[in-house]
Amino acid sequence: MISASHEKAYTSSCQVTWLDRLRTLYQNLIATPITFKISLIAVLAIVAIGIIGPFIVPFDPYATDYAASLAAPNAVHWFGCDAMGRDVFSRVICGTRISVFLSLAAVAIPLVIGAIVGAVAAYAGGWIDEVLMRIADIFQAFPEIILGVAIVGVLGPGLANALFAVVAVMWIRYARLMRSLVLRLLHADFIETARMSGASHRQILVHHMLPHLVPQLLVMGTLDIGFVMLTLASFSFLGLGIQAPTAEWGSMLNDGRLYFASSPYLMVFPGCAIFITVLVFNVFGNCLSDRLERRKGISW
Amino acid sequence: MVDNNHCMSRRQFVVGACATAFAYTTLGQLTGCAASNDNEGTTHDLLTIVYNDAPNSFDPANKWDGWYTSCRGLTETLVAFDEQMNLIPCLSTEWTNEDSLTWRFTIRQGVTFHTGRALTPEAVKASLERSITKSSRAASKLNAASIDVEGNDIVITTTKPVATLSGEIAEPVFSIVDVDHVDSDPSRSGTGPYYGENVDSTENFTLSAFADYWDGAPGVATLNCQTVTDANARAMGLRSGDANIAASLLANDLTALQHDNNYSILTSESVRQVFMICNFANEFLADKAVRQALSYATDRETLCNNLLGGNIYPNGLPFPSYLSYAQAVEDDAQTYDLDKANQLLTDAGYIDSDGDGYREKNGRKISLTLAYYGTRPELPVLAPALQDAYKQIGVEIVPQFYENVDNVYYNGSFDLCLYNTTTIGNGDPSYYLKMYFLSTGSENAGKFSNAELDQIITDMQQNFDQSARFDAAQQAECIILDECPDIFFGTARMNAVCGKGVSGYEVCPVEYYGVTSHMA
Repeated sequence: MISASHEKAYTSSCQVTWLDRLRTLYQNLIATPITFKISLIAVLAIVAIGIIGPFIVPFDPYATDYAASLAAPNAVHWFGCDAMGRDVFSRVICGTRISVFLSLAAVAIPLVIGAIVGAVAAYAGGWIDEVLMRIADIFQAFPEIILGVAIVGVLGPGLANALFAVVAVMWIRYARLMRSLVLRLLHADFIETARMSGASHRQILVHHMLPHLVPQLLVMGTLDIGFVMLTLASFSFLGLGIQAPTAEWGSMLNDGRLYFASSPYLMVFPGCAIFITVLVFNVFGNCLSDRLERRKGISW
Repeated sequence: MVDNNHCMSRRQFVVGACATAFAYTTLGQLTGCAASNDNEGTTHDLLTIVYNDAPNSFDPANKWDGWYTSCRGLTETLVAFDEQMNLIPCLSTEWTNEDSLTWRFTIRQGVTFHTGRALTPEAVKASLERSITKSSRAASKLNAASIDVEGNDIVITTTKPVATLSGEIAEPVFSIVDVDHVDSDPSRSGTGPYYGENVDSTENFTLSAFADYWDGAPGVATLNCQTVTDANARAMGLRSGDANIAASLLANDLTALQHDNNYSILTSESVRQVFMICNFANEFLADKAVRQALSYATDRETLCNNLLGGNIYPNGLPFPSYLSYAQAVEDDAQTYDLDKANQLLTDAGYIDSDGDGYREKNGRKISLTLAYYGTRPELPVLAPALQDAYKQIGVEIVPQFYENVDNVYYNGSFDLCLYNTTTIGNGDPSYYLKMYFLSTGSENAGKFSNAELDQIITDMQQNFDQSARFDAAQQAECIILDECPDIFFGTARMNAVCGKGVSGYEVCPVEYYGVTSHMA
């Protein structure tokens, strides 16, 4: 039985560890290679565009002007206009908020769910581990995109259902990663020391194991942002995701498909936006992964 | 240890790669020139035609499948329409209306089915009786009491006067087939210039020329018919050379192709109207004020000329405006007036009380689903535009795309439905009025009912005086425009684009026809 004062003192020592780690992270950032800095700036720029974009665009992304229907890129409409005369540049900028933030949410939610499931499965072991991993096996038996399309097809098109479908197919990888990481640390010397010192299961998981696992989870999550963004865009392209008239890159690709031969810019610009964003996040994720490997001496 | 004697130097590699690339390029150019030179001015052995939709089967008596078999040259009817929608002989050489209940058709001699059996009056009788038995639409069109054979003629006696019978029987549901073989091999039981051989798909299939065709053996030996529902894909198939003929392209593709000498564009004013059906089962659409407001909020000129690039001729009438009975009611046509639309809804008690931009009544927001499908290229373009247009009067529209809209259309599982249909399929206004506006009409999916209109339509069908029928059509149109069960957008233009050197494909106001024996 651990006393409350003993636990409080023990917890205080862990908080010092978190602050030290944040300080070390900042110092490492200063010393990072140029590629990482550029990709980090690009990521921050994309996020910034997503936040302030709707306030700075030259035209209302939903305002129709049939006199400018299918106008080619010009000095007024930099990316041209779609069939309903809506400014494509404004819609691409406003689409950043939905495409990027939805992707971030679609990574964060399964990451948290998967991490909890994986940690519980590995730490508890026994029949709990078997049951949870067999459930993961069932989900993993289906190709991810096919399972996602099937879920959205059954639930119906829409933002919430598309997000649910992505969560349903993505949590498995984080669960398996978390499980393998926890299993590797389960009998480590410092964990045994903590256990013998009287730390509770919660303290072992949260204060001792989690600081070692979060960086790897974050790296994997960052690398998955591109995949999730493409998955959500695919749903919208198929008419299963974001519905009209919401400005979203995937649905813009779908709308532009009818006019690909005569007005290819309707697909080129949202396509380039998806390409650049996915590339930026992938490079950033790779840089994070390299940093982590060099620091830990870990090979994936 | 590496043996460098057999390794290629970097210079040798570059020279070899450049030489190979040059050789392939030159060979490709020469092959392309030779191929194009061979195709100019010669008959094709194989033509590939891409269509926007496909039949459910090759049995012309099954639902609307006869329109497809006729268009693809598999089947024919006793009489046909020409480009001016006049009735012309086909499998019947002449016909007469002997009295109010009796019609006589003389059967053409020397016609053979694909099966080799001769076309006889007995075979025509059997085929017509099969169509009536299998299709309720066919039965209601003819109202036949009996079909008898008298020498080389068949005599149709009706249960009640059917003034438009000669036009009704031109609809491909009455295609003449060999009844002994149509159930086992429907693609090879007609009389058309082409027949199917070992066909196992209605979406992609190959047809062979029928050498014993009564109007002369076709010039093209083989037709490859493919279904490509995406209009852009059809255009791209034509450009790439995968297709020789593409039907129903979008206006922007037609604009891009019209200046290209490698293609010939065939267009025709059609008898198809594009309209939106209101389902009277919906509490909001049962209110005439809402229907009229939707009509007034529809800017047909802008939608048809700007958004659809002129592929639809805008008019707010049930019939194409070039028809006399449509022109007579032009003053009552549905028009665009946004202020009036808003006023109608406000006066009817629909107010945006919560400031979300949409009106409510009795605590319920006006939110309507809009069903549409993709086989008509203008509908997927119209749906989001209408969502935007009706938002301006505070009506929320939720577009819902269906691969096959029949799933919701016939069981009424929609609020609004975008549709495109033939209005004078029998050459007479009664065709459209009877199917879509009669209370018991087979295509009246919105369940619109008006007793006065029902009586007008019923009387029309039994009146052999064409001018009287046209007057009745005007009366019917006035009721329809006043009650507003549908919102009319305009008249579709038919089109097909042929590749260089391809000729003989027909585009008519009514899309029963396309493939002919004169194609080359």
